[in-house]
Amino acid sequence: MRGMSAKNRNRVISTVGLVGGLAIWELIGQLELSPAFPPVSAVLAAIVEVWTSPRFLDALRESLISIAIALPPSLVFGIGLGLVVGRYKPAEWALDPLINTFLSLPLVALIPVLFLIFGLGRGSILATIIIYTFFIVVVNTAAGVRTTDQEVVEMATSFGAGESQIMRRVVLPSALPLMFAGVRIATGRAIRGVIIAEQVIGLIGLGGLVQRLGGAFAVEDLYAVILFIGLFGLVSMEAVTTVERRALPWVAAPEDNEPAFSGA
Amino acid sequence: MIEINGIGRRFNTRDGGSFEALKDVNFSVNDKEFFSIIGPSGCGKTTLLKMVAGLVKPTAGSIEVDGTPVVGPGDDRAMVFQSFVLLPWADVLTNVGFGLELRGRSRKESREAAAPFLERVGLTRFSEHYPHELSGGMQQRVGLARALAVGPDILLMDEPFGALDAQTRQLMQEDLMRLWDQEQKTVIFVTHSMDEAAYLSDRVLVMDTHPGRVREILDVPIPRPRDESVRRESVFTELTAHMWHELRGMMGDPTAPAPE
Amino acid sequence: MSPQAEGAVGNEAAVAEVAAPGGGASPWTPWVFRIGSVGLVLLIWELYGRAQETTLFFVPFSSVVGALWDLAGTSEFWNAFGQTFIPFIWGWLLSLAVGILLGLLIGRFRTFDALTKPYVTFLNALPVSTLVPIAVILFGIGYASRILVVFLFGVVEVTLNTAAGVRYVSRDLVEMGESFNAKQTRLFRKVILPASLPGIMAGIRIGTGRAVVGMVVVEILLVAVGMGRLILRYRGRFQSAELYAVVLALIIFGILLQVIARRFEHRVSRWKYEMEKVA
Repeated sequence: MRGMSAKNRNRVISTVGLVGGLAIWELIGQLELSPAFPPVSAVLAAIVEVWTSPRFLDALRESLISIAIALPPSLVFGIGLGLVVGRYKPAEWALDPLINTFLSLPLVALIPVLFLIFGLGRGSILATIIIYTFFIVVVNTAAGVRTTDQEVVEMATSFGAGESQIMRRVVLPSALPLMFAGVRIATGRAIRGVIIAEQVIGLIGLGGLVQRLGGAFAVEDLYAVILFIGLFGLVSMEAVTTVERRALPWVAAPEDNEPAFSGA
Repeated sequence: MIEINGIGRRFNTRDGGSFEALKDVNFSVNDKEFFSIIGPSGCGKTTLLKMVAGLVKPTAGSIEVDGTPVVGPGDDRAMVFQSFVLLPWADVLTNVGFGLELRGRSRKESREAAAPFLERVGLTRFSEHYPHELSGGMQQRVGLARALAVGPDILLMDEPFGALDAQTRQLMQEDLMRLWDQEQKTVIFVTHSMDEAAYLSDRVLVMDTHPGRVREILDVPIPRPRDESVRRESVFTELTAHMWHELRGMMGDPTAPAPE
Repeated sequence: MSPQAEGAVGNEAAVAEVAAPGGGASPWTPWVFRIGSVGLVLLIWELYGRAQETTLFFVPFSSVVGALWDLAGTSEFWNAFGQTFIPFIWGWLLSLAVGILLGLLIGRFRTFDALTKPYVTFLNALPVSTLVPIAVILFGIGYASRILVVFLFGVVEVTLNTAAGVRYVSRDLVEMGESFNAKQTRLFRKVILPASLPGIMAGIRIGTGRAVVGMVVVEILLVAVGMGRLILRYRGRFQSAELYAVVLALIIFGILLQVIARRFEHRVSRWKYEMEKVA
């Protein structure tokens, strides 16, 4: 492996690790050591069957609909409020404690309350997605606004720019990197939120499917669904990152930072 | 006596190609000599210094110190860094003793052994302070004391005053010279500043770049001890002018006259 | 989700800095705003709650506090809390131990990082609540599965942050240590480990938060014992004030742990914060 660049070498090692792990799992599964670990081959077979079944696709559609309804407004209003909080100190003083409080507490704990208020239906699921995503977007957008270089603002003012121009042409572009980070994080959290809420209800969506499969001890199918959810999460966050890179070509990618250890 | 024989260094680049940082570098440094290395950015002078320190291995050639080849860091050499590289979580005295700690002594012992060296650089008052409370010049003194505390024969200094403002820099140069007069160590000093090289050194190696190699080695025929006034003597100004002429040509300045 | 973009805020709250007011305002101004806004929210909560015709869905703040006060006097409440708390402690400690160990290995050895990357990345992107049914199939609904769930929730963040803390130790510091010919173990103990400490502390703080989330997830998905059972009971009997009170108790617990973790982090990594203030 000497001729390969470090990056490719690592990719090979990762692949080896992945294949190795799956091989060990297959072995454990074949030995039938525990009902919780079916052989990989059985899971793969289940994937083919489950991912194309109407039961799964319906559940997937339900979850996606919830996200599609709740996430965009949460993002839009979150960014809006974040811009205000980041730019105007009084807004920051007034809203910071509330926002920080919401971020410090385990939001999951609010789910029973939401179910009490909105009932055991889509309303609670939407509410869950919103509280999971709204505050994180606000905080990251506000942080992004605060990275605005005051000297650039001064420079723009010296050329006669008004408040709205400064907002649009200086503050907003400066805030974009962290704003996107917030959107990316929020996307992951939206998935987490919709799944846990659906699990609590236990009937609809992918979360509900997980609970039912678990209750029926249908382990292979369960893993198939879990795998999908995990991959879906990965793919959506990658998608946001890709959009981010296209939209913000001037931001250095994190891999460009050289860490201290390049050997071993 | 440090001998640099046929040193070359090749780096692999990210796209799979390679880049030759140093090629066929040959020179030697005498005992107790103050030897500076100057050259344009990217000529590999820091890489060369790190090779003597044993932190980087050459891809060609060898380095010998008193006949023994350099294979890694050793007790006979100590380094001073441009960005000081002090431990932010430890106080000044602990920092000075850190080289000793790394070589196996206990913290208490190292601190005790370090105290005289802290005094040598005039910062005993600040023993219990933390690096971030000190100015740049003071931090570098701590770095210097740390290097001296391990008792090396050879001091390797990588643009040690590069991060300091011009006035502090000049003071530090004078202090370093006084210290060197007392300590009598071999010093290899990498710098960007021609004034600094001429003021401090016995000899100056001017490096060429792409790839890094020896362009010429200049004698500094200014008698010691040296003081401030040396900077205004004609020997000094001629020397620095010559260095500037060489460097300018290498840096691709289109307004420079054709090389002699 | 980490590693974070420079400055991005993940699951934890931004460290609140006292905002310096613009010229002319007194230093008390931000505090007036803060207390004012929290107070305003509580007031609205109280009034809106009282305005409700029924206490089925929304309860005034005072009722919730009253219910919590009453509950705190019962042994039943504290028994339930103990049943929730014990598996949390074990799972949390386990996640710290395993997470820090794994993180050190991943941060220090690129090979180990590459080997484990597919698993860590997947586990990080997956909503861990989906693993609860697996834990149940594995261990039933007793302490063991609860400990496992809390562990799974916490371990990823601890690992990732510890690894980042180790990996991003300044190259200069490592080189300086090497230049003094330090042996690898000594280098690790005296340079790399202390330099990684802020990252490790951040990992502990964030991981603790996630472990608390895991604890609550266990309570609302595996409701046989503990606080979850109380929640289920109060919901069934429409004792909304009590329900809110239990939720509030869980929330207070979560916030308290966060505050303690942050204090601890500040104390251990004090030099870093001092440094950043000067910078």
